[in-house]
Amino acid sequence: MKASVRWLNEISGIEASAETIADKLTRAGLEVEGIERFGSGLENVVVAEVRGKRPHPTKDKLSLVTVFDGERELEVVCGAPNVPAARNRVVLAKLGAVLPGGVRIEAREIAGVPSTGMLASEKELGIGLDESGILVLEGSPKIGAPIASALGLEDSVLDLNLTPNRPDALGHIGIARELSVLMHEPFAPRVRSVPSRLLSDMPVPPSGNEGIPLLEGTTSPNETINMVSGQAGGLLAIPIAIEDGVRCPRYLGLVLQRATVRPSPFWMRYRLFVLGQRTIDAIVDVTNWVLFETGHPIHAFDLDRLVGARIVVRTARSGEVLRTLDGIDRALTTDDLVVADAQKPIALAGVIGGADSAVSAATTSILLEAAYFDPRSVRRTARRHGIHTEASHRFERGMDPRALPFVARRAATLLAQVADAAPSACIVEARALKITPTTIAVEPSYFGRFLGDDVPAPEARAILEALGCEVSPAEPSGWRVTAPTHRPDLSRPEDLAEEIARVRGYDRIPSALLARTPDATPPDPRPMLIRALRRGAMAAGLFEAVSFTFLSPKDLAASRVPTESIALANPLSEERSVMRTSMLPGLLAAASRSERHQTSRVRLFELARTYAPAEATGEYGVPVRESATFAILLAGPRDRWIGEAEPVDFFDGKGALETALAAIRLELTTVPDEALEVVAPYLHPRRSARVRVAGEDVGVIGEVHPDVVEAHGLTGKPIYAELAVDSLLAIAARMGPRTVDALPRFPKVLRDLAIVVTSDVLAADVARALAVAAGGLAEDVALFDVYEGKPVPEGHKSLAFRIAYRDREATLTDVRIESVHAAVLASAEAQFGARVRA
Amino acid sequence: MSDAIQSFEDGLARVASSFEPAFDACTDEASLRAANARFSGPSGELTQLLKLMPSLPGDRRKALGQRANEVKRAIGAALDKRLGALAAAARAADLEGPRLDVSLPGRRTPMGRPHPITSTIEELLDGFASLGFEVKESREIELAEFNFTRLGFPPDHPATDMQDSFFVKKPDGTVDESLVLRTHTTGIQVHEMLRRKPPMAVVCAGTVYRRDDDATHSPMFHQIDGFLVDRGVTFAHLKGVLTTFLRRTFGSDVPVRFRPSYFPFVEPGGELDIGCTFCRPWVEPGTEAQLKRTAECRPCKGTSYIEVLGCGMIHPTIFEQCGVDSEEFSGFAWGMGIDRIAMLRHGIRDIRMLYENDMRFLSQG
Repeated sequence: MKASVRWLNEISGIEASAETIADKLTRAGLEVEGIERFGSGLENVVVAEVRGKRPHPTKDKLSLVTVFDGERELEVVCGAPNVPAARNRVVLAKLGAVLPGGVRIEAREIAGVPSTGMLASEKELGIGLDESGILVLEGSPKIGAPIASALGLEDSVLDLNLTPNRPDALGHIGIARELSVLMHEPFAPRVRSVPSRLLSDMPVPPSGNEGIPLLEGTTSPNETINMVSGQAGGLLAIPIAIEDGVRCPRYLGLVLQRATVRPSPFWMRYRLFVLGQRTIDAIVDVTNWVLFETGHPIHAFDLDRLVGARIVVRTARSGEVLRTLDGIDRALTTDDLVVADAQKPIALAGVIGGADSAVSAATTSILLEAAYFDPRSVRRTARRHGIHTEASHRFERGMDPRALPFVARRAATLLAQVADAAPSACIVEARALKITPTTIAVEPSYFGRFLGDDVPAPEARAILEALGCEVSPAEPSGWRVTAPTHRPDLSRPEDLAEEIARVRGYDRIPSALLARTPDATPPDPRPMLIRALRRGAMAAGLFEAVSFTFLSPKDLAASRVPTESIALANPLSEERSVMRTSMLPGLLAAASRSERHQTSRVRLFELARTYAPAEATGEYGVPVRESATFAILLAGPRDRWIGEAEPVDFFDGKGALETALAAIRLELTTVPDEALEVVAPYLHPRRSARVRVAGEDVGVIGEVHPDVVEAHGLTGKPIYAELAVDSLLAIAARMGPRTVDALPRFPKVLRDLAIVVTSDVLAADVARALAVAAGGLAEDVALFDVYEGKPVPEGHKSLAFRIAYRDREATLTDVRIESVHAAVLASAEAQFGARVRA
Repeated sequence: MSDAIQSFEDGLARVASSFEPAFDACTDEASLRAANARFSGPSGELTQLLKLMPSLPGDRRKALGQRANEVKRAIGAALDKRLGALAAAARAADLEGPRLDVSLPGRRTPMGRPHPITSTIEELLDGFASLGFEVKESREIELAEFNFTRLGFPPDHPATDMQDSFFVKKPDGTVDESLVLRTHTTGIQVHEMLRRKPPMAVVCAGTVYRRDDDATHSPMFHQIDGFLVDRGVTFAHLKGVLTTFLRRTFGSDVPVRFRPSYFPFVEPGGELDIGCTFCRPWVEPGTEAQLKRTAECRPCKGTSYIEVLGCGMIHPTIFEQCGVDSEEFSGFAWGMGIDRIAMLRHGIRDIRMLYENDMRFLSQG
């Protein structure tokens, strides 16, 4: 919403700078986001009188105009087609003037004739959009006066960012009312028939319009008020029927005749211009003026284009089509509320008018609509048709149903003034539903109690009354507050408390702290464990990624991850239309981005959620499973001190996982599983494994399948792992506090054992068997070498272990060690067909 | 006989006179040990002489033996001395040797980094946890009932304009109006109040979604929401607790501005702004340098303030929807966007950078 400070001043009588007003409004919740200045910088631009004109000696399109600038006569060369006759007043940019576009006016010759100034158009002066000709002034502003003061151009426009609860501030009267309350001034809106300084020498407006009588009637659905006037002169009222009283409780219609459609006067055009509204013609401009002034949308129909000269407010019938003002043919649904004539819809109620019934240059008779439409009804229709208008914006937020007569009369007055329209003798008002203002019962002491501040009752009352509330006593000791109908947001005591706090100023609210008893239940360990896991991942050299959780179904397929996913009904694009079922697509996209940017070293982890459809379970039955997931992706060279190293492999990934899990005191094993080809087809079938912690499967790890790598435009062999965080946390939470063993008192003895086994034997199995065979004497069995190749026979590998033997109760003798070591070797031979390496 | 004695004595004299020069001639430990072996090694000259001892006449044997042992000791002492000298010389040479290129990189264990969003969330959560708030999580794919209705605004409320939502598609392809990607973390209020009775103080951070996509809006972003419900909670408590939090987080001297605003789930509602932590207008107010700094300040756009959170007293509708007696309890709630704070903290200008996971971006700072 844009607001003209000059207009606010005219309505409220409050003289204050734009900055002061902006600050007051912002601190009261009507946030001003910017201030734009108009009418400044027009020095040396003055009102001048045309004294005469003659053709240019050589150029047909130019004329030589003699003007009087209040001191002397000058001759200027002018190219405009609309130079008026003598005595008319125009705008002269004198020598030295600098126009808003940066044009500097200097004495120069135009086609051989000297020109000592320039006659300017609205556009050139930066005070309008008209560039079809020079600006010809209405009335008789003082000759020689600076244009800014003569036309009242100086203005500041506030850019208000209004919250949806304040429809009353969507017009200047409402903002002026608010301002008066904040400045502690009484408010009586001064809506002048014509803004004072801009008053031209228009004919005096037809008197009595402010008092056009209301022809009231109530109608229940399907009942028509029919009050056609048979008065001479054609002043008539047309019948109005409301079929859906809930969605349109009140509708006012006023007929105006003998209108002249012409451009509106400058004062009107200029104000609409500073508010960013295009001017069209006098009739449309008046409807916009009234919208910005009262905040209430009105609509003008060309009465002669209505069939049957009647209004029916009803829902659309199936199959009906309306061509709206924007030229689009809209198929209506039976939930759309329309304004119709005897035959067909002529407007989408409260949203946009129809093209066929719109006013045009040929219009002479107008049916003016001022109505209240239900916010939800308007909102549904506006959304359904994808239309957002000044009207729908306001109706959606709730207009003041009691303001309609004022609004209609105001429009009639202005139409009479600027379009010579003759209003009918009466306004027809159809009422389908009684308008009942909201009343709120509240005790005056409540405000202080709720706000935590001392709020004297008289002050609270004064604020509420200034805002338009009626405060009357109610039993036993309370108040009965009737909210004004222009404030649909006031319906509870809390709303009134906000008004009081707002007007007094939030800065006046004291700061208080409250004493609370700490909760005795132990805190949830989950957040701390997740944090520790994240630290572990960083200790493993991984950087945290945060990816979009929605992606394209193609991404899922290309990554070979589950494609059965949660899909969005209204995605922004196909690229972000389903919820991820795995972290892999996101991390691969990041890797491929890195590769495109010549950053081959990728070390990523992500700890967030994946999503899958599920049976609707639980109390509220949400058919979605959200799984906290920890994933890592490594690619590019291994880290080496200086220089490039060989690429990372499975064991770099496993090592990173080990480091990460160590942060929550978990140890993992990786075990082969042929089923991975089915459950994790995105991994390499021969270089992938289940990840197991405390005997539980918690996830998978492996080289990404080469097909998936290729599908992402990547090279190399990235390593990916994905673990179920909830499983990890459950295991971690089960573990008690860390316990320690006493330190050994007897020395250990190291013995090496190098054996040859077939390639398919798992080193971890051998190590475990050796430890078992040592019968509790092997403190540690560490693999220190793996070797394949000559002289080890093909299909075999050599494993070298260093075994630390220790008896915690005695010093080991050589004899005992030799016998145990022999038993260990024997077991390796027996279980794995191992041979001692030669 | 005298020949044997003579030859023994000659040999001893030769050894006694030659080991010292021999040792002195050695410049490293290896040659020194080799030289030592030539005298007292298993086949060394002195060792050979000692083997002759039994053949010497008994009357001279003792005296000669003593002399031989003296020579042997002298050799040992000389060896030790020479070893010491060589070690000292080597150390001196090392200390005088070429300097290390200390500019070469360290052999580090590479360390990763948290995402700016996560580190911001953790810091904010810590701030509230230290004020006694419990940290909770909630689901992202949420019932519209929890996201909107029970928070006091039905899906066709104009306030939903501020929160254009993503809806979930049913298996038959139609819109499931009952399931949305949560548009805020405010739903935690509904979850917690339905689950248990007040008093309670809870904070929840997480991913949220709205249908916006430009340089300042991402369709996925992050929020932190918190609320406190207890007996006798007032608007003044809201101001006190949140001001304390903001000062703890952004600096004890930072000015806090409180102004009215509107959110459908609170009444009264407000926004808290803090003095811009970039141009810090309160440090030397009114000076020319300060005014210039503020005028040119991008984060606050020259306004001296940065909006950080929306807040208010919990709307009675929510209490009604969650079965909490609003006569007995009252409470306040607030919410803040995390992305913008993370962007301000890290000088990130385009929100999209946050979600591209560019290694060059993630590894900075």
